[in-house]
Amino acid sequence: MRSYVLLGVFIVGYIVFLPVMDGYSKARLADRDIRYIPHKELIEVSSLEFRNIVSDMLFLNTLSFVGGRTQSKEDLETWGWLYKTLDASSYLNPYNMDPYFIAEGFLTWHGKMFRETNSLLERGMQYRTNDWIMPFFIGFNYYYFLNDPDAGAKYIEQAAQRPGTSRTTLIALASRLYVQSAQTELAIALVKDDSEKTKDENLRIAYQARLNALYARLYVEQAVEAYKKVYRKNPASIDVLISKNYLSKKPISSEGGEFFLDKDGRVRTAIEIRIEKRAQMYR
Amino acid sequence: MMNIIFLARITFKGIIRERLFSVLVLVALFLFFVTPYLTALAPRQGIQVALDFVMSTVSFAGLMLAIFLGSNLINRDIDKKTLCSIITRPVSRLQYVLGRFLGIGTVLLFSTLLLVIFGLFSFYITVHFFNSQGESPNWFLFGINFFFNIEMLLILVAASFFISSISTSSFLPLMFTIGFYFTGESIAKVKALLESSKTIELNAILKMIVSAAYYIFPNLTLFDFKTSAAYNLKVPALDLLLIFFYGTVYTVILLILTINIFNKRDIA
Repeated sequence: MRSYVLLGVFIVGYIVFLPVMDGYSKARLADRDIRYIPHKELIEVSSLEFRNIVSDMLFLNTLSFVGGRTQSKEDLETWGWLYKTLDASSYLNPYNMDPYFIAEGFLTWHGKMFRETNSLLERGMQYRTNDWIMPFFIGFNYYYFLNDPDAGAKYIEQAAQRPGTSRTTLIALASRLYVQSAQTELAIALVKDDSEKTKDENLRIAYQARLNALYARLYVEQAVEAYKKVYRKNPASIDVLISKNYLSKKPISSEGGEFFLDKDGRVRTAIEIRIEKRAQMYR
Repeated sequence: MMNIIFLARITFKGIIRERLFSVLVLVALFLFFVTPYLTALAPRQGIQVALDFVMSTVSFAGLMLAIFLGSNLINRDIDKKTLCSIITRPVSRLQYVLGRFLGIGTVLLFSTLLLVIFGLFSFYITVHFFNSQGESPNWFLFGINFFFNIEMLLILVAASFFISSISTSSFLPLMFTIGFYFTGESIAKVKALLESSKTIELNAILKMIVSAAYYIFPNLTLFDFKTSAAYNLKVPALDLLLIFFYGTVYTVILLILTINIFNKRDIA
């Protein structure tokens, strides 16, 4: 009987003591909030055959970070920690797609770690061979954040080759990026190649429309190049090209209205300018 | 042969009587409660995380059983004089070792199967009621993973028997088996890391030690198919055959060494 009384006293004492300990452990946790992570190779060796679970645990750590702190501006060290943790998590288990999504969602937009994110996504692309989203994210990062439409187009083209995606959309997107990086011939080759491969008549019609627009652009670009060779300067407008007989008539893009030349002599359409302006607003 | 089967049965019954079933139920309950929690935190690949967790927990439970049962059994038989009463009967030492080994093997098979059933149940509940996302796993490789997991555990048991045959205490086999497992799981990675590292300069002795350990200890990472099962990766049939052969040869070598040493040991 006496022992039960003693047990009861201790249980009550424990319950009373719990909130105190809770506060203490939270304070201690905050104290220990040094964002340190060992080398991924060391983690791999020490996680033995349980590396997938260790990878999941590392990923969970990043979730608590993402859930709690996205509103405040983090310092470089903290973003570095997030990158290293996601790197270790995806190193231990490169097949899990969640770390790549967190990287794309936070390391780029908030942490401004574009190249680091791409290096993680490259790993995802290497292991998740049937997943189109990895090369798509890399392509997007190159185009949107790193201002490199050429590299962006290459990755989006690779994304289009992978199963489970809207191939036509990605091919069209890649071809636009090639155009933006002044590689219209490459864009034509890409669309033409895919158009020849497809057995779907509707797709072929869509591709043909895109090809027509690209050929029209190429026609203007070639005229600009010919003019530059002779006059050693950019033509002021499309009308100048027509007046000097480099173009027979004012070409129209089937996708974006009339062509015009910007101050650098690049061939543009009104719709392209609108899209670029909108993209800049979100940057 | 009858003696071996008889000893295996005694071993199996003896271990089951030691409340093994309660331990397994505890592990199953752990699986049951933690799997949904972990899966809920994985937004896109809940199915994979749930399966990873089930496979890892079952592996861990098997690992604990193999290490503690394997390193304890022979020395306990010697301490409690059970061995004397067994080998005074028409049972050879070879039959004793093989019987005990087969008995532990049966326990490992039984507990793995039981935990896999519990694990699949908690996996089903998690995926069904928490609507987990993810790719469909490879159930054939899921089975293969446990087959090779048991083979790996048998290597550990054989290693613990080997050290038990030369040791007089239970502590040494326990430490050796744990070390054996750690080395087997990491030596291939350590060797590759040391060789590829530009910052660590390998001295000749360290290189020799790592190389020796690499060839003496088995590469236990080969027996792990958790990732392949969860993410539906292709594994060539020839690889499976080679790994099975590798594991069997290593186990047989350890058992032959154990029996030879055990035959010469003075048990009184």
